[in-house]
Amino acid sequence: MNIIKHTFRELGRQPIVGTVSVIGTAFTIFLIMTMVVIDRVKFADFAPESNRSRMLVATGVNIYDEEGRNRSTLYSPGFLEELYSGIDGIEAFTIFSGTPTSTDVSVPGKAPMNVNKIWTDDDYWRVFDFEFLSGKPYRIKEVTWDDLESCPVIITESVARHLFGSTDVAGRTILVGRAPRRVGGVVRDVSPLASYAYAQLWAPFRYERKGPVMGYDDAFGQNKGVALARDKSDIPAIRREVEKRYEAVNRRFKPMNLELLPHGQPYTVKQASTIRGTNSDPYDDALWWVPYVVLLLVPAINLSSMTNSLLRRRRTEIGVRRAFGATRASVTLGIFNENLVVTIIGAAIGLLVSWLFIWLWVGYFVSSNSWERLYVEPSISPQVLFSWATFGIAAGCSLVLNFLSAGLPSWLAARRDPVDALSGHEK
Amino acid sequence: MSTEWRANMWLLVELLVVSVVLWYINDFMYIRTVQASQDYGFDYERVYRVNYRIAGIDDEADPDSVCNHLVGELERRLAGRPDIEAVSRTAYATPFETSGYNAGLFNPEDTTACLGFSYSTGVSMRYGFVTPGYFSVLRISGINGESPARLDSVIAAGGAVLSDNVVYHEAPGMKSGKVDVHSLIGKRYYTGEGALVTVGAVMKSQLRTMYESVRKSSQVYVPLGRDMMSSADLLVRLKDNASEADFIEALNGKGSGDYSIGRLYLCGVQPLSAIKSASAAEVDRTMRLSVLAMSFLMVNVFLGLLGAFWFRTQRRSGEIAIRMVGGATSRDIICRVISEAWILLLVATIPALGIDWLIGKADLLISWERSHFSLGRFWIAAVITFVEMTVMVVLGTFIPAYRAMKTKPSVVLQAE
Amino acid sequence: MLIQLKEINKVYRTREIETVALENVNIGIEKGEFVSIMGPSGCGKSTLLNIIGLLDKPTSGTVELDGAITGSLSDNELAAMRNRKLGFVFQSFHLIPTLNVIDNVELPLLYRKGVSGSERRRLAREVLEKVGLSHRMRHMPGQLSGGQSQRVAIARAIVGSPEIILADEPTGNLDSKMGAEVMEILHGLNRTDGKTIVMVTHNEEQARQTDRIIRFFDGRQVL
Repeated sequence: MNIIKHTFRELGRQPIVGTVSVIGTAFTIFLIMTMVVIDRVKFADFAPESNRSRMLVATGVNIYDEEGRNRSTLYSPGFLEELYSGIDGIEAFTIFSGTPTSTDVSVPGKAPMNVNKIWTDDDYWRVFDFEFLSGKPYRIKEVTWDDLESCPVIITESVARHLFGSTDVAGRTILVGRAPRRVGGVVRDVSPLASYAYAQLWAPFRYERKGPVMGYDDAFGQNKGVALARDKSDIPAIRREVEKRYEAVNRRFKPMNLELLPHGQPYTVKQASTIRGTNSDPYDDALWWVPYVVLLLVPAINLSSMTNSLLRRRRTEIGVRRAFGATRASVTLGIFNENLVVTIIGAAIGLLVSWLFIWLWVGYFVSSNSWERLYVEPSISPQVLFSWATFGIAAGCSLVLNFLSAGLPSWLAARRDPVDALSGHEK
Repeated sequence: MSTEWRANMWLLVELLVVSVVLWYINDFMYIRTVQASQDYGFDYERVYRVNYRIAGIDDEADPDSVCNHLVGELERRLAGRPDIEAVSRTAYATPFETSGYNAGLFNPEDTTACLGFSYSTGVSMRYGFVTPGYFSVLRISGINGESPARLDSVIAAGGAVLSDNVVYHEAPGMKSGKVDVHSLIGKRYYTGEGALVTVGAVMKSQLRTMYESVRKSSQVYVPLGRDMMSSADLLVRLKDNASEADFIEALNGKGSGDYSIGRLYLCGVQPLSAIKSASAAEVDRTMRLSVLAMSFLMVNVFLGLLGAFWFRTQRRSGEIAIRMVGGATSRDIICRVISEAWILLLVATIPALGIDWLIGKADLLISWERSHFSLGRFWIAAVITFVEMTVMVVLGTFIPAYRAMKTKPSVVLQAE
Repeated sequence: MLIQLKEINKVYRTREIETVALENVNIGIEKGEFVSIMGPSGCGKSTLLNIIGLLDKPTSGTVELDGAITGSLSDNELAAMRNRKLGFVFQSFHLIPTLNVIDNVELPLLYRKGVSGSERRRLAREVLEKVGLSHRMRHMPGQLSGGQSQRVAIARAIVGSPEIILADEPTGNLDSKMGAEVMEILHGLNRTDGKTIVMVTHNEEQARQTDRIIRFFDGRQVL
């Protein structure tokens, strides 16, 4: 006997309740999946940050200065090198300007376009996997600093199309802040949701290592660092080594009454996404599950009362089944499975709507970094939206919702005295 | 009878839980509505930030001097436009910018003292470094009715304008006391940059973002110093009858050449509304998700309540039929079922109010000036909750009762 | 004896009231018998049928079915026994409205282990042929007349080849013509297939056509 046909016929007998059940389930899954995707955007892998699970980030440091004042800022390149270079377990480490600046790019005869720009070293192109549509990453060794006109910059495909109408423009000259630069390469557009790889123009920065940091001015700067571990299992060892190096720097700073507070850095991408400013620890939200439980539980209670109402009408049928030899367990399971059909239909609708909603209006619920100078609406990568993890979470939530909404009613219905059920009496 | 009591007990518990949950949601929505309608303390409509760059400025030995000269000329040209009402240069004073400069105002006789309190007690204000014209650009008036032009003249004379909510803390993080700002007018203090200013006027305090606690951050505006020129923003206000599109076209399009002065060139104008959206982006988005989730919970709660009373009344169809057979009128029946339901609601609401109060006092509500949980706020949410639940209960009772009354008693009782 | 009831008492207790539904009932039914149970409303006939059908337990006394004492059996064992040994026919037919005729008839076989889907179908078709409704297999219960519905119910009751059929006023909701058709089928099952039938009825004429009438009054057997 076809459980799906049977379920639809049952829904047809109480269309209002049935429709509300399906819509209620759909809306629940829609809301939960929207929250899940918004959360996952902060730490799921997507190009060019395809290795977020192996990344460790240095996002800023806190220091008590000579007068006991607490200041927080980003790093100098030298300090980052001292902390991270040569650590076993790190596949690549990149230093780049921590906050994009706004600059204008133009070509003669074309209106300038404001873009977000950052400066990077060579390893930036190893840590993040950009897709080059033309040209290649720059190498700082090859830059002639005396002839900046030949200094290569990397631009995104949108910028290339705005300026030239094409992406095959490696080698052409553009004006960056009215200064000529050579286009070294063109990359696929990057979603602003990529916290460390986002920009629209990348330029090489000039840096010469001076030796160990000796004071306040040496340690501070405008840069962040990202380390790519060879494997996730290398992360604890890398952190221990960095902690030792911080301690060594603090011993050197002690006579100057300076103290660095690393607050447990470097962070994983997930930890870093919870930080609010450099003066705080990562927020380990032990209660992260509470909103999800509430959003599952409240509609489940409503759905279970609707299931109860649907089952009340079927009490005679349940009595007949019991009379003909159905055990309580088989009755419970039967109702549970029928409800699962409804849940799956509702969940599928909810998941599709959430995908559509997020795809079209991701900016409604997710913000990219608030760079007021040049705010860019975020876009979402299909890798985050259409992943097995997302699908698995949706399926899991559906099962939990079904269990919560149909479990008790079906158990109670099966336990009803068959004599009362057959006579239509209720106790 | 005992089964009737048991069924009513479950309903009472459901009503209690629903009442508490709804009170929390209504309080949240109330706070969001109040936040959205707050007065910022300034008018940002038709105000633009004119973005400029000076090529090669980083290579200059004295960038502030170069900026002062070039940007000053730009400012003059813009002020000369017929559609511009006011122009100002600012550092750390562009509304909605998150970067800030915090310091006290130091007593000239004792520079370890802030406004007469010791430095360590902390009188910390958010600084804005501005040129005359700032108050006209943002249409900020004085607390005693002084016009924006009057406040601009205070800056032109080298004075300072304070907000009316300056507080001092007895120790960092300890309780605060309000400073009588009016008594500071005419007094001289050193700014955080070491300039000596005279307090010339008091204005109403401003909000930086919609979600900021009400009037928590005090401000002081002082003249823009020479050494901040290179990082200054340029703000302009369009006249009320001027065309925004023409203005943007003039500065963005081919006409922008008129404003290229030496190495200075324009690179776009931004309305303050766009800066506002960008700066509040993350909080905005989080709030939207919270509002969506709260609305969703509210709909679920409503449906649940409606359903509970609907099914309860439906099961009494037989009883309704028997009462009609016995001579009851429609009015008798409706009054009876609704008043029974309403009494249950009332009984559940009393303990619910107690729980609501405890939640409020335990500070589990959304943050909006934490000290702001008041009796008024409590009762607003409580009344809204009670009205909503009454509507649901009445609807859930009336409709099935009405339908039962419309069915012939003989049909209903036949099933019995 | 296929069915043996010894000193059966059934008392319904609430906090205030005690109702004696059955008092000291002793009944034995042989294999192949067609027995009617008669009595005024509220005399305990349906209670007795529920006890024989293992749907209800007596307050005291023993119920023996095909040699097995049922008092000590668990819920699942009782369910299995109902499935194998008993078939029910109700006054209100109790067909499941969202299943078609053949799905309704198959129902008891769903709860029997070792019966494949195709086997279920085959057996259901067979019994529908027997009751003359094989041309209505795909119809929904709402499309059948009262007599047809009861015939489907009978088919459902016999699809698992139970030894005992319990019928609670099987013709109560039917007119005389349809009632006669249904009785003919029941008699056919008794005579040809050797089914033991216990029928509760108000109809004196139908009862006289059975092998034995057991009369009840106020919970007690009347001789």
